[in-house]
Amino acid sequence: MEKILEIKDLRKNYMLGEVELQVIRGISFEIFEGEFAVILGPSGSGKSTILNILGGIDQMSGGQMFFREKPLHDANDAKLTDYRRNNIGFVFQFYNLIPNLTAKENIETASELSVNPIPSGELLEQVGLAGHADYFPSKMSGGQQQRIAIARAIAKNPDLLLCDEPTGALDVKTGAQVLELLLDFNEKYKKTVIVVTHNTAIAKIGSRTFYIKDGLLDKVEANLNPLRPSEVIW
Amino acid sequence: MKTRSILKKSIRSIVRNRGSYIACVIVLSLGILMFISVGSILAQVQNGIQSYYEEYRFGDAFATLQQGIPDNYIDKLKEIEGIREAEGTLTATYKANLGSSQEIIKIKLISAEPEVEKKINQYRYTGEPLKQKNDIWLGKAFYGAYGFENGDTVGLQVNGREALFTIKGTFESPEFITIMSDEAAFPDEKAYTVALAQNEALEGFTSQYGIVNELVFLLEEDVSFSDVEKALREKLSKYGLNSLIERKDQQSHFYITDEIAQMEALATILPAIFMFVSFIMLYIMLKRLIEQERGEIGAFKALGYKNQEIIVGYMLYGVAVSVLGFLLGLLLSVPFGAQLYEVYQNMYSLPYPYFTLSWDICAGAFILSLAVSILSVFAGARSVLSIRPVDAMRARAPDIKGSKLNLDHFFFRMVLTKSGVMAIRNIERNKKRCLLVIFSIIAAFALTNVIYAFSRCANDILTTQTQTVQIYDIKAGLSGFRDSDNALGEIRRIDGVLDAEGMIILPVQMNQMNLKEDIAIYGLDRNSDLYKIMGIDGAYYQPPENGIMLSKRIAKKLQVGLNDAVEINSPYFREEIKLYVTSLIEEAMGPGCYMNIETLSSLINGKEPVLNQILIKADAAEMGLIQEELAGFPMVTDIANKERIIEGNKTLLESFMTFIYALLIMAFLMGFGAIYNVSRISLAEKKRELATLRILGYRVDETAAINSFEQWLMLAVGIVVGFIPSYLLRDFVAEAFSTDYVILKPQISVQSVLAAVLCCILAVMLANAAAKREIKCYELVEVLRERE
Repeated sequence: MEKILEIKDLRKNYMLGEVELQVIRGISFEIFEGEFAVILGPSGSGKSTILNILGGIDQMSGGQMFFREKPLHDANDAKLTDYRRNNIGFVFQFYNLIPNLTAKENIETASELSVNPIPSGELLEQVGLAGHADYFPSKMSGGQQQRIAIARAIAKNPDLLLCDEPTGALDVKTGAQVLELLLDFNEKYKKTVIVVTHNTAIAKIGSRTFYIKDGLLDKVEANLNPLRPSEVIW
Repeated sequence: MKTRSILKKSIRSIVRNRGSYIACVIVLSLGILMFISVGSILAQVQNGIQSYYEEYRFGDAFATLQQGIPDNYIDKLKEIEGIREAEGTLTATYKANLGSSQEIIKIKLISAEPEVEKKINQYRYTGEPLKQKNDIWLGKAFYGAYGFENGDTVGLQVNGREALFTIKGTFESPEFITIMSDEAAFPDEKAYTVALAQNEALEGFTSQYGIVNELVFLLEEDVSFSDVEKALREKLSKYGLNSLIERKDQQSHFYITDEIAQMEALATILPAIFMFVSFIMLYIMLKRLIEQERGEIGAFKALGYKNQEIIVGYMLYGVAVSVLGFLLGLLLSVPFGAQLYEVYQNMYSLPYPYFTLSWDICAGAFILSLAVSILSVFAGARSVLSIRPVDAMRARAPDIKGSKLNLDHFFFRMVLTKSGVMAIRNIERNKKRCLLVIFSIIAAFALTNVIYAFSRCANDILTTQTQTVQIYDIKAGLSGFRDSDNALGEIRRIDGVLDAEGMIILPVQMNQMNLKEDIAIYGLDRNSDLYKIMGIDGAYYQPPENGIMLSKRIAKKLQVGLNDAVEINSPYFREEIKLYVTSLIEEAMGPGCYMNIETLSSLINGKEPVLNQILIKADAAEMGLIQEELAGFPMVTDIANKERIIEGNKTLLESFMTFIYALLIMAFLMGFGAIYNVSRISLAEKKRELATLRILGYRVDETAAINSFEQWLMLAVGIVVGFIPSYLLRDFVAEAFSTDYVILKPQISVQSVLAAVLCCILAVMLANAAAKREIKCYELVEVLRERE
C-alpha cells in the first residue's frame, strides 16, 4: 500500500500566558491509501490537534508532514487552502452545517469546489435523507445533521476524510449509523478515512488504531478483523 | 443599585467591539458637527443681527426719491400717525479712480453729521472721526479688498473733476450688512461700496443744500408698514418717489434673511439625517449584542441582578457613544464652523467678525445626542427585560422558520452562487436589521445624489448665465435714460465694438390687489443677440410684444396668472400703468420680469425710444481699449464685463464647493459607517460558518464573497429605493435655497446618480476590504472551538 500521509516528529506548542504548553511532543506515523485509521486517546491528549494539523487547519510547531510525499510543513495559507480544497473532507463533532442553506445546498457548497464531485442526489440517497434535501439544518435532528455533514464532506470526493469525534454528540444507535456511512465511503470509493475519538469501541471498526497519550504516540495496533459498526457492542 | 460588575463588563465589551463603536461615534459626530456649526452660525447671525438691529435702531421703512425733499419736510412726515421717527440723508454715487482704467468702480456717498446723534440706522466706525470736509469712512469689505489704510486717499469723479477723499476708517450699519449695487445680482466688494461723508461735502458736490433724497422711518409699536404706506406715498409722490419699501424688502435685510432661511433648512435636514443613521447603527449593534450576551444576562439575573441594573449597563453604550460623538462633533465644529462662517463673512458685513460656538446650541446638541443614543439603546436593549435566566443560560432554541423564498427555482440556480443563496437567506432571516441598513444606504445615497446635483446645478446656472443668457462681453450702465439711436451710435463708433444693443432696467413696484413686489423690469429687444431669456428647460423665449412676461415665482407672489393684469408704479411713468401678463416663465437665474424694449420705452418716454443700458459684443483683442473709452464717456456710470462676472462667479463657487466637498465626505462617512458596522455584525454572526467554509477549502476571496454579496445586494436595493427620497430631498433643498433671483432646480442626472453610486460603492468596497482582512486572520481551530 502507498503512503498517503506521513508525519515525522510532529510537535505542537501553545503559549498559555508566559508558559509554553507542549501539546504534541514528537509524533511520527504514516497513513496508507484506503486505510480506515482511528486515532484514540482521552480528552486533552492532543488527538484533535493532530487531526487539525493533518487537515491543514492548524500549523505545526515542529516536525514534518508529507501528503503523497509532497511536503506540507512549510506550506503557506494559500497552499494549505488548496490542499484542503482538493484533498480533504472534514466531519466535525458539532456538524458545522451552514444554517442558511438547505441540506442539498450544504452538500453543494463542497461539491462545487471539486472537479470530480459525487452528485448531491446520490449522496442524499446514500445517507438516507433523500426526502430531506430541502430541509434546513434547524429542522433536522442531530443524527440527520451529522449524516448531511458526512455527505458534504465526501461530496468533494476527497482523498482523505478526517472526522473529529463524529459520533460525540449522538446517541449510540445514530452514532453507529454515522460510522456505517464512513465505512461505506471507505469501502465503496476506496478512500482513506481518519477518525479521531475517545470511544475505544470505535477502534474495533478501524484497520489501525493510533493510541495517543499526553501528546505522544503510545502504540499503534493493527486490526486484522475489523467489525461492522452494527457488530460492535457499544 | 449595584452596577459595578455590569459596567465593567460593558466597558470591556465596548473596547472589544471598538471598531463598530468608533463608526457609530463618527456618524453621530457628523450630525453633531452640522448641528453645532450651522446652528451656532445661525444663532450668531440671527441673534447678532436682531440685537444689532435693536441696538443700532434699524429702520422699519425706507424711501428713495428722485428729486429730494427739504430736510425740514421730514418733520411733516413725522406727523403721520404711526411714524415714531424719520430721518433723511443726501446720497450720490460717483465713479472712483481705482483699479484699472477699464473698470468702473462706484462709491455711493451718504451724508453724515457725526456731531448729530442719529436716531435711526445708527452706525459705528473704526478709525478716526470725520473732521475735514473730504473725510470718509468706507464699507469694510471694500476697504479690505483694496488693502486701504487710514489716511489713504481715494479719488472720485465728481462733476467731471477728481475730488480726493481721505479715508479715515470703516463703518458698519444695520442697513449695510450686505453691500451691493442695485444692478448687481451678488455683492462684489471690489466694484461697489458705500461711504459716509460729511453732509457739507455732499451738499457741495450735488449743489443740493438742505435737501435729502433717501428717507428712513421708525414706526410706532404695533403699527405696520401698510398702516403708514398710503400716507407716506401721498406725501412723497410729488418728489419723484423712486421706491417706498418696508424692512423686509430692504436690500441688505432681504439678502441676509434669505440666507438665514437657507441656513435654517441646512441646520434641520442634515443633522436629522445623520442622527437618524446613527440611531439605526446603535440600535442594530445593541440588538446583536443582547443576542450575543444572552447567557451573561441570564447569569446576572440568576445572581439576583434587577432588570434596571442590567439595563444601566447597556445604557453605558449609549452614553459612551453620545458623549464621544458629541465631543468629537464639538471639536470638529470649531474649524468647520469657522470655515463656513468665513464664507458668510466674505459675503456679508456681519456684526461679529469671528465664529463663536453658541453654548445653547452645544447644550442642545448634547441633549439631542444623548436622547438619540439612549433611545436607540433602549429600543435595542429592551428585550433584556423579557429574558428569563433559565432560558438565557440554555442554548437558544433553533430558528425553525424555513425560507419562504424558493431559491431552488431554475432562475435562482442560474443566477445565484452558493454565496448569493447564503446572503439572501441571511437577509431574509434578519429582515428588520437589513431594512434599517438599507435605510442608512438610502440616506447616504440620497444625500450624495442631491449634494452633487446641487453643486452641478449651481455651477451650471452660473456657467449658463454667462454663456447662453448674458452673451454680451460688456454691459455699460448709463446715467438716466438716453436717446437710443444717439447712445448706440456713439458706442458703435468705438473701435472693436462688433455689436451693440440697447436695454432698459427699470425698478418698479408691481401691485395686484393688496399684494406688492418691488422688482426690476428688463426691457429687451425681441431679437436680442446679446441677452437671451432662457427657461429652466433650456428653451429660449422672446419678451412679449405687448404686456409683460413674469417668472412663475413672482406671479405666485402676486397671485396672478396668464392674462391677469398687474399695476405698475415707477417715478419714470407719468401715471400708474396697467399691463397684462402675457407669458409666464421659469428661469434659473434672472430678474423674472421682461418686456419688449420698445413697449417699455414708450411707457417711459412717449416720443423717441430710450435706453439706460448698452450691451456690447466686442473684439476680444480690443476689450481693454473699449472699456477705457467707455469709462471716459460722461453718460456711462457703470461697466460690467463678462470676465469680471465669471471671476466673481468662480470665487463664489469655490467657497460654496468647499462646503459641498465637506458634505460629500460626510455623506460618504455616514454610508461607510453604516455598511462597515453591519458588515462587522454580520461577520461576527457568521464567523463559525465562514470558518467552516474555509476548512472545506474555500479561499479567503470566496468566503468573503458571501459577506460582500449581502452588502452589494443591500446596496443595490438601497440605491433603487433611494431614488424616491433623492427626489423628495432635492425638492426640499431646491425650495429652501431658491430665491427671487435664483431658482435652483437640481437635476437628478446620470452624473449625480453615478457620483452617489460611486460613493456608496466605495463605502461597500472599503467595508468589504476590512471584512476580508478579518476573514483572512481567522484562526480556524479557535473559531471552531468557540461555542455560541
